Amino acid sequence: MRGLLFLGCTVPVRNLNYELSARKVAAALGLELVDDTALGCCGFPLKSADQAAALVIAARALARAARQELPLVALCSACAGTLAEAAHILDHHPEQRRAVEERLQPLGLSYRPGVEVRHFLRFILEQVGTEGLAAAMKRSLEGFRFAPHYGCHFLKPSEVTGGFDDPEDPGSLARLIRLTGAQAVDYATLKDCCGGGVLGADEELAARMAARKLLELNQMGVTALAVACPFCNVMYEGQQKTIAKRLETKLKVPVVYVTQILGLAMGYSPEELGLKLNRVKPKDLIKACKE
Amino acid sequence: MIRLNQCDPAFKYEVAATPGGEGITTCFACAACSARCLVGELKPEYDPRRIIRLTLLGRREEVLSSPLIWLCSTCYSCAEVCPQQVRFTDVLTAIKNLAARAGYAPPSTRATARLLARQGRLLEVGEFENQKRSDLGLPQVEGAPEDFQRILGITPQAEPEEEA
Amino acid sequence: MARVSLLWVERPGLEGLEPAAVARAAGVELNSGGPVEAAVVTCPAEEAPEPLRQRLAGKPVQWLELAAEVGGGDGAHRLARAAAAVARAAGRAELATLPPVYAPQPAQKVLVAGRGLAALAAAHEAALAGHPVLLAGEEPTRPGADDDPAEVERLAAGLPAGVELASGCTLLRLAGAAGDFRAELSRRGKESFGAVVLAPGGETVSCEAELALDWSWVRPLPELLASPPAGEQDRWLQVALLAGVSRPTTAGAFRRAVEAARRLQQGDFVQVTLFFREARVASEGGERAYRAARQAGVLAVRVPEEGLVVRDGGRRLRWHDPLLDEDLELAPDVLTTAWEARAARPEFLDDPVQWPAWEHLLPDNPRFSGGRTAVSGLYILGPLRGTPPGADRRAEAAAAAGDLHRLLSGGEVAPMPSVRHTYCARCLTCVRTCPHHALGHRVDRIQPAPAACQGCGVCAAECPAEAIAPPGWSNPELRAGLQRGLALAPDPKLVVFTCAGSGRGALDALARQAHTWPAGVLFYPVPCAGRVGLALVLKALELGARGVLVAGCHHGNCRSVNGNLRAQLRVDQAARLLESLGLRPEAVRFLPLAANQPRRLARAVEEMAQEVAP
Repeated sequence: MRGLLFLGCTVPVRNLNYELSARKVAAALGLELVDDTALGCCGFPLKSADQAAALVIAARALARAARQELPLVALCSACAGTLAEAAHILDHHPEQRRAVEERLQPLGLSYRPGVEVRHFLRFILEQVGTEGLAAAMKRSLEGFRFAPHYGCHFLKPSEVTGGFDDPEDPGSLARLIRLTGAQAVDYATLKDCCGGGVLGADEELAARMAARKLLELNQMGVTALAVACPFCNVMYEGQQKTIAKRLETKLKVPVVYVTQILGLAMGYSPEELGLKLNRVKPKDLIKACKE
Repeated sequence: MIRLNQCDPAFKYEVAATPGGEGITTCFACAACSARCLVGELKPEYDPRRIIRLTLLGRREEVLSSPLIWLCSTCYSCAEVCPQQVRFTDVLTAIKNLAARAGYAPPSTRATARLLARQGRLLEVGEFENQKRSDLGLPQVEGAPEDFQRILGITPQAEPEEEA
Repeated sequence: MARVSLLWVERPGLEGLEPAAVARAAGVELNSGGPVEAAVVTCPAEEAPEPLRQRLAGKPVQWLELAAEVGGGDGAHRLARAAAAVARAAGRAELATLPPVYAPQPAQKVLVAGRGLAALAAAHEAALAGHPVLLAGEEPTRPGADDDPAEVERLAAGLPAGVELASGCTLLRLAGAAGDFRAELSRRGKESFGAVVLAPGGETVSCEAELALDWSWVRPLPELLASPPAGEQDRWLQVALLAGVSRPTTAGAFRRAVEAARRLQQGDFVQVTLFFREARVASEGGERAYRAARQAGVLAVRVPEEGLVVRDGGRRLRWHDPLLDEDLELAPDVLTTAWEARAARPEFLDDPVQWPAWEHLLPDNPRFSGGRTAVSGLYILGPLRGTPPGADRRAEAAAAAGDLHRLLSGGEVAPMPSVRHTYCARCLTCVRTCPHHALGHRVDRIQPAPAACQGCGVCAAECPAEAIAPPGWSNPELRAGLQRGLALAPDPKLVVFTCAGSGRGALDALARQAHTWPAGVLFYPVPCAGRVGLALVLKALELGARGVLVAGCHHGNCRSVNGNLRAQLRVDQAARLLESLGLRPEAVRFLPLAANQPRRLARAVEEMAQEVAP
């Protein structure tokens, strides 16, 4: 099982803990993640201003993956969503595809249909399956409670994700978490958008969007909020202090990546999974996994 | 008071002709999207249904120059629930594209293109960043700015403005 | 009086009940195979084994949905309820006699009066069902308003052999009831028919005739469609299409207006704004047409009643948009309106003695769709009904033909009401109140029309002399049943009348859930809530019930048009009477109910039980 790893813009610079934990989990599952260091951006940030150009940028990544005959495996939900949507558009709209082909040509690339785009977590669920994942677990995280955050591009638009998980009643991340023996809680703001998409345009609005979930989880008390996207991480972890100040309250919601939870259950140490880089750490979890 | 005779009936066709905007005319204002929109809940002036209504009526300048159209968080909740497959997220992207072409893009959006042209990615990976990566045992990362410059038709030197 | 036996048929819901114990408690004999004079059976007729049905053919039998009344809960309560139900049924079985089976056969010939698609389709379908048909009108094969001429021609050319065509012929007068209509046709004289279909072709009129428009400036829509206008790039042509502003249009008119809007929008630089109060898309293809129009760029504006301000004969239109919270104004270059087919009401139906008022003839009631009217055997189709053109009219005609065939086929013995002529005062109350137009009168007696009677029992409830009732549902029989049942029910006794249209379904559902009823509840099914007159409500109270709940269908949903309304009125009367006597009016209550609302029934019974508890 091999995949071309798509790191995107943020992960390799600001979320090394996500990258570390993902690579470790892949290794434990026997998945080879091939690197293409010149992949760059998926195009998502450019869509608002120039969707056609964003499509070419995405097509470039797809073409590079096609050249290696590998599925494209992304860590960031927005990247996975953008690349998958691009493939969907190019496969169904010949005029747009022609326009893209023209612009790819000077780069020495051409688009080939059939490139599979997957978010890393969906990739491991599909390639390894729950039995394979369960077999890889070495340490039980029983007693810990995680609140999964699916975010938006992991689940929607449903015609692009092909109904992999139900946007109205999602369960894939909860299933992954439960494989470790830990609890995955259900909560009112489960399906909230993190607000990352408007951070550039209106910081105050984005903060208020993220605040809803943080307030609920702060009240509920969980081991950590588990995210699957660096954007969501920026809002819930990076902006947590700012939000707390804005609301004139205290917030203490530890934030981890789902891959870090899986990694701990697979026997890796918190150090190996970059938990030192988490800004709001789940102290009890780290302590329990130190041995 | 809005005088329909002074609005631009061609505007909706312009949006419908932009990729992603095809679904705009089928909206029948059921408000399922407005009900789902989290941004709309927190900021009542933002209402997908209103944006569509203004577009269909032909209020071109009002829509393209509005700061509200940049507030969509692209969560796709509206698109999932729409009974007429309007796909508002994509429609709004089309409207934003038209607005950008007309010169209304906010500074953050304009800066994105320049960054991509300069370094091939949003966040620069220079020596410092790559050093941190090798310390952690992670492979080096480069950009491919020439590719992006070719795609975007911008070269950093040709760009007159200094980024903020 | 016949001796009544209990025939026990084992069914789900009756587990744990001992047939012998139930029979004993109810005061009847448990039959184990011997001869039977009159019987109570523990299952409905449709579910009884064939040999049993044959054995009981021709005898007075009360078929009980016993499981529904027994419900769940304590064994002792279940026994008591079962016994009460059996006792009540036995009370009725004792007095029941079948009416003379001799009933004149309904006439099989069908009259279709009118022209166009609806008339031709009805003639066609009725003939195929085996009925001789007379298709009569001025020009029966001329297309009606809205009809596709090609389709009409096809139907006219292919009329089956049993259809007699009479042109230049109008229906002057109509009398009688289903199975025996007497029609007077010009140039033909009087003839007898089993069923009558009225399907006038109608004329084309504007839907907005009531608006203050400058009609010399308004362009008729067909004219615009014949030569569609265009605008210019710098000056778009604004077209306003009013499709149901003064009042909502029919579904057919709306669909046609919407299709026209789309065609006009496709002209170069044309912007069509479609105004309406309601988007009447309930017709075949209606939703699709509406969507196609929007997709093409038509602006759809919904205005509430009085919401569109029309100035200058229509040259200026103004309305309020609640979404934008702004007033919008349009000065159209072209104004046009939707048009619809309208047919005039036949004059002969104006006779108030013979026929119900128009609003009562065509009740706004989903049970009277498919061409049916409140008069059994009389069908009204096409433009006179407001039916959308095309497939909808064909479907309606087919439904009507199916219904009249069922009506005229006889089949099981009709539940024709029996009349005690020595009691009857000829007051004609029953004739006037029968919702199915099943009672006529000749010189000295009331004449039931067997084909039309639905057995609802409203006549029995309204008759001041107890002179008429469908068999099994006369006041004496109901009183006997109540007496037996109430004698067995523990205190506090509560009588719940349920109708076939709503209560039966709700009780069924609750029985399947093994619902537990309060101890003293006695269910009394009746064909229609309208059968429960004032006298019966008061009798129940006299016989020991502390409360009476009458459950009937929701407003506008009664199978007998207004049986539910009558029941409501009688219950209100009873309440006022009780109050004037110093008793609690809350002891009687009417509950509007639907067959798929079991919890509503359960809740109401609980509330009443608590209400009447000592």
